[in-house]
Amino acid sequence: MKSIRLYISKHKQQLLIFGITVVLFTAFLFGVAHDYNFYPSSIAKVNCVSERYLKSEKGPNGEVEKYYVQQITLTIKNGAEKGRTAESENTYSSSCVNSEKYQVGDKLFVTIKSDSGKLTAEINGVKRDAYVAFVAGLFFIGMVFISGKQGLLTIVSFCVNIAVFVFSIILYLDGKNFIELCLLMIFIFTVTTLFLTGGFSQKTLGALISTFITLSLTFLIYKCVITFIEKPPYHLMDYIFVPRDLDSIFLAGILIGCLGAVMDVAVTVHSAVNELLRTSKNITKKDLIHSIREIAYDVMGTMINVLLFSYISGSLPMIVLKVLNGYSLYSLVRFNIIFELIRFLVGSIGIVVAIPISGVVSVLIEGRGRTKC
Amino acid sequence: MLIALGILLLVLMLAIGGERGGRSFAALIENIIILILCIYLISLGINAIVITFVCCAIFTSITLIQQNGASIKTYASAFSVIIVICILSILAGIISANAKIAGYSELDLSEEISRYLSVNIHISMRDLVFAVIIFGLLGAIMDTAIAIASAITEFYNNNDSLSFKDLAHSGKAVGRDILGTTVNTIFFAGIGETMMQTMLFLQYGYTFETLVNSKAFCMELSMILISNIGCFLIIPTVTFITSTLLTSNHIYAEKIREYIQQQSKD
Repeated sequence: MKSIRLYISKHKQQLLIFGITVVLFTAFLFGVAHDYNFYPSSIAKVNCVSERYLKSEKGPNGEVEKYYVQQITLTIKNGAEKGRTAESENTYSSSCVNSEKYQVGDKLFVTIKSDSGKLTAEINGVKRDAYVAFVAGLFFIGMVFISGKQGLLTIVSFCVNIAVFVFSIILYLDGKNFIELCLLMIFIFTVTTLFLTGGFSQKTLGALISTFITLSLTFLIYKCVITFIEKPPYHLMDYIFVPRDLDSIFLAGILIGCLGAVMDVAVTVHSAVNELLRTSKNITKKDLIHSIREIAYDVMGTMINVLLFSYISGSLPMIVLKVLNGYSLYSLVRFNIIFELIRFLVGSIGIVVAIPISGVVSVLIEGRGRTKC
Repeated sequence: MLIALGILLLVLMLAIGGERGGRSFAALIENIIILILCIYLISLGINAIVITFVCCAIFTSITLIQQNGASIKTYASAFSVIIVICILSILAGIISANAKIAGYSELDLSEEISRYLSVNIHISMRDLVFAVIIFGLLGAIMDTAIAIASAITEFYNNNDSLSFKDLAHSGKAVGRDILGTTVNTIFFAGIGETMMQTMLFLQYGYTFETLVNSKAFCMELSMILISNIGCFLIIPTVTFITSTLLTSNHIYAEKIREYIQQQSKD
């Protein structure tokens, strides 16, 4: 008890800030959850749901999929009919692949029809903004609490990068040349991210140069592979809306995807070499190379796993759906997840190539600085 | 094409990482095999959440302990990864059960393929969302965990008079540096992946409120952000566990140290 009191009196300020943050965050979430009046379309909250069994359907492998009908009562939350109740019906299947099961408390976008005084609602979608706000808020608070000013700067660089990204795509849709936009985009991404999070120093400049060299080399390697060996089947890509520039869009996706990882490696190697040269002035070239290799071992394996998991996990539901629909592993790898795999492999090559390049660049830059003094 | 890229990667890893590069490549292949196995097990109808937890334990042991050898730092980071996964599974559970982001998104429905695939698969898509979120963050938190654990161990090896407090302090400082870059890795991987989707959203003229409430956006954003949340949850966890294991005189800490030493000899 005493120790708790002592802790409180010692960390009064931090606890106060923490308390204020929690209160503000809760208020923010409450606000987002009740922002019905900002939406032009009608929103309704599910009040009560009753279900009945509809039918069973046979699946491709003899599974039995059950279908249910939900009778939903909703309370309308905005617009002219605010506060009134409406009825709706919804069919869902037990796996929810292209149907949705609604629960009491869900908030839905609806179209309301009046039929001799009785209101019926047609469900158009789910209101998910509260979840987005919840996760984004947690991320923001955590970043600022754990890494303070640096965390805030990272978030600022995110916002700038997203704005640049969206703006360049708008320009592209207006008919600008995609490759030029893409080069510009990569340049701005790298510069803002490195300088905002790393500060302006020789180290950051070195990391910037290494990142650009690595990206160009990765691009060359990819270009060689697709010219001399095989072109990926671009027409099988997901979400195609116009069949132009598919190859450069995919390439841009690859390069931007591995940009983060390459910058990570470059910053790590540059700080380490900087630290080594600072602490031991008379380090030999051989020792330096040895140390860089040592860092390489540590970085490589786990960094590649970051890319593996973040690329492949996203397509998991589609893969399971296709496996159950009788796709073989070979055809999945050959035609369906090939783009994720190429992205992953080229990204990993980028990570591996970044290590020696960052090493050489950092030794050149720091070494030159050393002879000057 | 995939084979060519794979061979190129292997050659580069061997050239730059030497024997340990080879070991990393082997661990990578093992991870991919387990991932494929896990997809087939889910397809057989075994609960996806159970599979996710089991596979996470296997991935962690392959990537951390097998690839880097048994030592205090690898065991400490493996423990912390499992702890953070358990904490975040609550968040992933809330999102996957309530946010209704399972199944085809608005964009998938406009794809041709959604019209001829049978949807009668009798596998809960919500559980799959859970698996997607947890697998997505696994790589990032393993990376952060091992980086911090090895930095703390390095400090301790250079100066073993350092107390728990000193180690925890330097662990936090290292964590701060690593956090920014790892968060960026995930962020750019996400942006690169969603290039086509963003184009579609802009082409269809989505307004901000439709975008925020759409399934595809909510799914992608919660994946990226929950991975990032995992990255900063792991920093205090791994700092605490590694520092405790290195400095504590408690009987359990000594027992664990003995056990790890025995493992590393085998």
